[in-house]
Amino acid sequence: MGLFAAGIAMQKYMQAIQEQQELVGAIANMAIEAYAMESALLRTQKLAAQHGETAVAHPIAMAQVHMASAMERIESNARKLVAAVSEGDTQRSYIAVLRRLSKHEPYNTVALRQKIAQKVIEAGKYVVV
Amino acid sequence: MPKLAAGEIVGAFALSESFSGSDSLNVRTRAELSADSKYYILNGEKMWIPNAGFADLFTVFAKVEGEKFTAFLVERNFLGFAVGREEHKMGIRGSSTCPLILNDCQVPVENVLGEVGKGHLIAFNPLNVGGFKLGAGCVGSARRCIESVIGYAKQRKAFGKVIADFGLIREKLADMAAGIFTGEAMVYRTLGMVDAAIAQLQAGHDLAQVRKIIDEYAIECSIIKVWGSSSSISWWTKWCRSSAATASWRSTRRSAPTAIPVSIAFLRGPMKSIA
Repeated sequence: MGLFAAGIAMQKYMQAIQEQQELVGAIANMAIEAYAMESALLRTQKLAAQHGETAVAHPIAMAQVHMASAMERIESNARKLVAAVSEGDTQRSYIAVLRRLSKHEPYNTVALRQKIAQKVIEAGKYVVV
Repeated sequence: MPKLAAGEIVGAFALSESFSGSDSLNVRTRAELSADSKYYILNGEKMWIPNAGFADLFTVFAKVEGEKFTAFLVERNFLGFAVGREEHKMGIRGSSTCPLILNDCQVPVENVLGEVGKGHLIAFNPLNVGGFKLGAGCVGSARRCIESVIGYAKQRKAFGKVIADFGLIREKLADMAAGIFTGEAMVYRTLGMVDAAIAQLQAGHDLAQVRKIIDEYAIECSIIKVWGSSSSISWWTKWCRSSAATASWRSTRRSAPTAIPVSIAFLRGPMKSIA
């Protein structure tokens, strides 16, 4: 989604994109969130390989909760950018692309957060596994 | 260097001025070669210099001949060098922050760090590593904070039960934990990549190569700084006094100019970690 949004912004502004600070900021935010999501994912994979998948429900929950809110921020930045660089039919087609890219089954973040909270409350501090 | 590493002397990094911050190469401090070519005479001021209250050795950036951006090692006892008063800050009060005044400050020519006109190489590396450290510091302090927050939530009562039993409080705690987990993931991952790249250098490598590696991960380091200081982690450290300062790290010099390289890199695709 970040690459798509960045691409359409580049198409419009080319090198002059550097002067569009709000758009550049939106692209940076999406890249940052993508790096964060990917890092959390890789970490859970590594932990699962180390401890076995059944033992890593807590880190998976933490990663999922983070990813759910990260996706919201990515979508919001992408929409902001699309609205700023297009209009009319072109815009509608871009929004359709964003909808396709952002399609995913939502996590039950209420339940996930309850589980995470329970674990850290019992431990009295932040724990990973 | 050995004394700095051992903590026998303390260093400080003096780049920012009243009129230049994010535009770090725009310094006004001037350096002119003395008539006998033995000294550079520095004139100008620096603002918001961490450690200035007690540092012994300062890396000061000035322009030679009005345009050659150069790094100088200035000792506290040099003629013409003075440290101003401690700033009143909203947070990180344990960190000394003072202005510096350079009034015909005499700096021996041997104290040029690197080459004249190549001061940017000296400046950017600590900024890259510093960016990483600030983000990592935020994650670390969030880890400490969540412990005191949980402790408080388990003993404070409202409506007949401890507040840790309420759904919205638990939601906040879960978000803190999720943020710490992700922050740790980014910090360890980035450092792992830098370590792996450094390990690949041959023995007897040049420091310039190490610097180049750190430069290559500059984007990731900036990401960590911006994310760490602006994410919900910094709001949760509201319980710790430094929160205003950590939140401001997002809007310091690295944020706006960082957005450009992060997004340009994203557009071109050379971000090392996302292949």
